[in-house]
Amino acid sequence: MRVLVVEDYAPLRESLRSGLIDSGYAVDATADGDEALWYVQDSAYDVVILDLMLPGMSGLEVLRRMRGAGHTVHVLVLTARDSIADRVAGLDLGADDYMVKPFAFDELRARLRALVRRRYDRRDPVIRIADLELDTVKRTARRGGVIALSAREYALLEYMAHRPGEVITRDELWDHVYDFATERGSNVLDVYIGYLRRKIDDGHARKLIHTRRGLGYVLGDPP
Amino acid sequence: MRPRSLRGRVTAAVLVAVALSLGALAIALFVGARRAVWQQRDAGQLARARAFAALAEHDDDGYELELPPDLTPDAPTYLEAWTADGAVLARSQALAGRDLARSTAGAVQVLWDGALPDGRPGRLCQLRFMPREEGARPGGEVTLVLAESTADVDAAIASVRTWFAIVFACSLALVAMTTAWLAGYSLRPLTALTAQIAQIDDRRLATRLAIDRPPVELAVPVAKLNDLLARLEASFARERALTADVGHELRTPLVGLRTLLEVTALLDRTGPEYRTAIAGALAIVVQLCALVENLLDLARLDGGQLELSQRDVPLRALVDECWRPYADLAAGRALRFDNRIPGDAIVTTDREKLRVVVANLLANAAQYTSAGGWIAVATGGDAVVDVIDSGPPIPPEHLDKIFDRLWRGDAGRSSTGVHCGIGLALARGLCARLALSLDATSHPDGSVRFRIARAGALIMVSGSAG
Repeated sequence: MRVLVVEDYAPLRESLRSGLIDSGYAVDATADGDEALWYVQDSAYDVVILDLMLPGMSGLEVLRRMRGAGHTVHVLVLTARDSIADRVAGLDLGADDYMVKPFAFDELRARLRALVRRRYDRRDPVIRIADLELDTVKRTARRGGVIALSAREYALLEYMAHRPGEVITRDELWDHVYDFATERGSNVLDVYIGYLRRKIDDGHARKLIHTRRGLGYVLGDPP
Repeated sequence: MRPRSLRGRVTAAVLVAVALSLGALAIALFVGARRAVWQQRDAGQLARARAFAALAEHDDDGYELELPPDLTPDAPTYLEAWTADGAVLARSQALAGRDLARSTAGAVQVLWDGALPDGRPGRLCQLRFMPREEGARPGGEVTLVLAESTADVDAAIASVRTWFAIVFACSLALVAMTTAWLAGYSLRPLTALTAQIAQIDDRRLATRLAIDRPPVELAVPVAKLNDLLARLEASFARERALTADVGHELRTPLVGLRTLLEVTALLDRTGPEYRTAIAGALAIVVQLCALVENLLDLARLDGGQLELSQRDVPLRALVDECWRPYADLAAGRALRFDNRIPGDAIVTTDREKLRVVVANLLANAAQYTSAGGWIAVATGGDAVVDVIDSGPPIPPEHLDKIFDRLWRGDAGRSSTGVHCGIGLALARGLCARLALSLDATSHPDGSVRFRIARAGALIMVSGSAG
């Protein structure tokens, strides 16, 4: 899952970026409202974490312009402004969640997971595709037994699991699993899909990962 | 002990004054009246004694004095007369053969108090006179004593005394009631004021005292109290706002620190990762310390606790020292820095205070000048130090507000911990303490100039101006 952090206080921005990367997210971070709009325009984020008190363009203005431009990305406002009026203004401008500083990082991660589930229209944090089971809280996969996955493999699998049966292009996979700074490699994704296929499908008669040549990949029964 | 009321004091004072005056008046009146009654009575008794004396005759057969019958046997008057040789000439029946007391005084007429033969208090009147002469040989002097009861006079005087006492007591009671009411009436504005003041506490400082037609004595205190309330209200509002703002400003770096520590504790880290995290935490703590120091300096400034230590300060070196901590930040933002102050410029002032001011200005410049711009420092003319940067410009309506404590013109600037609207307020406060002024100007080309200028004689710049 890919997250954009918009926060002007550098130490907090860096901690959020680092903590979310450790939690398996692809993270871009900026301190600037204009830059945040550019990021949202350019990349497909699952969630934007947005501070309201930004230099130059305020967070509320960023939100207004994002929604005005038709972006449906889920936005979690993370701010020190804690009045009811501020919360109402943020939510009414199209924020999906509102968290007040100070906050617990664990709660932020839980809210991020909830927003990701909402984005893909899910309620249950455990995703089941045939006999494959993904626990998005514990970040574990089971098929028969527990499957040992690297952070990148899990991230790929979780994104595909949120869209079972759909053909997912390489660009979509890249957009949701890698951050802006990572240079797109031609066969990196294919290599990771190969690893996943071995860990998930080997030894099982029913294959779950399918390749659609020239289109992308499908997890689960193809359309 | 319950404090005495003004009303009580006024009433008591008036009562004492009236009691003394009325008492003195009553005593004088009573004494005068009693004397008049006694004089009247004595004159009557003397006249009656003379009337008896007029009945006395002397002829060749001797003396004759025929007494009239006693008309009041229950409360008789007593009369006795003696000839010069001491023989009883006449004696009223009521004496029943007893003698009345005689005065040995030589005066023709004498009056004195004494007991009557029946035991009642009385007054005795003695006359010495020559009886009417009817014979050829003149008789001797006759002494007559008339003793009458004084009970009626004593009763009258006692009655007058009682009336005086009743009138005195009633007058005092009336005066007490009238004074108490008048005092209460006069003190009504004060009572109303007291009730209003009693309602005021730290949540009702917007209250202003108002009384109808305030008396002259209260007009000034009410006005002064209202002024005081207005100042208190403003002061409380400032303190509340400052407390809220300080809380907010402390929260930002604390949130950063908390998140950094939580994120670090998420996973088992390597040594270098821990070192990086600790360095990050330390940087935030340093920032917090600077914020707290700025706040403490502001508090000391407010409390007048900042002592000045004057010395000659080389300006250029001071500016270089102040810039050093921000050189890396400026380089990272591609800012050009130009210290145009001549090497021989000397300023006589408190070095540490001026250093804090200049460091604050340079920190702001390094932080907020648009990337790729320039920062210049100069001196000359009225300016002790000019810190000029290439912008962005500060809107004219914000040029003075940026020196307000924790003012948030640019919300983003408030959340960086140190540059939270305290630095410039502190810098201007310190300048005022150094008898300097600190102002900001935006120029049409977008550049911004912060000027530290002379406002008094505490500071002198020597050397060639740059």
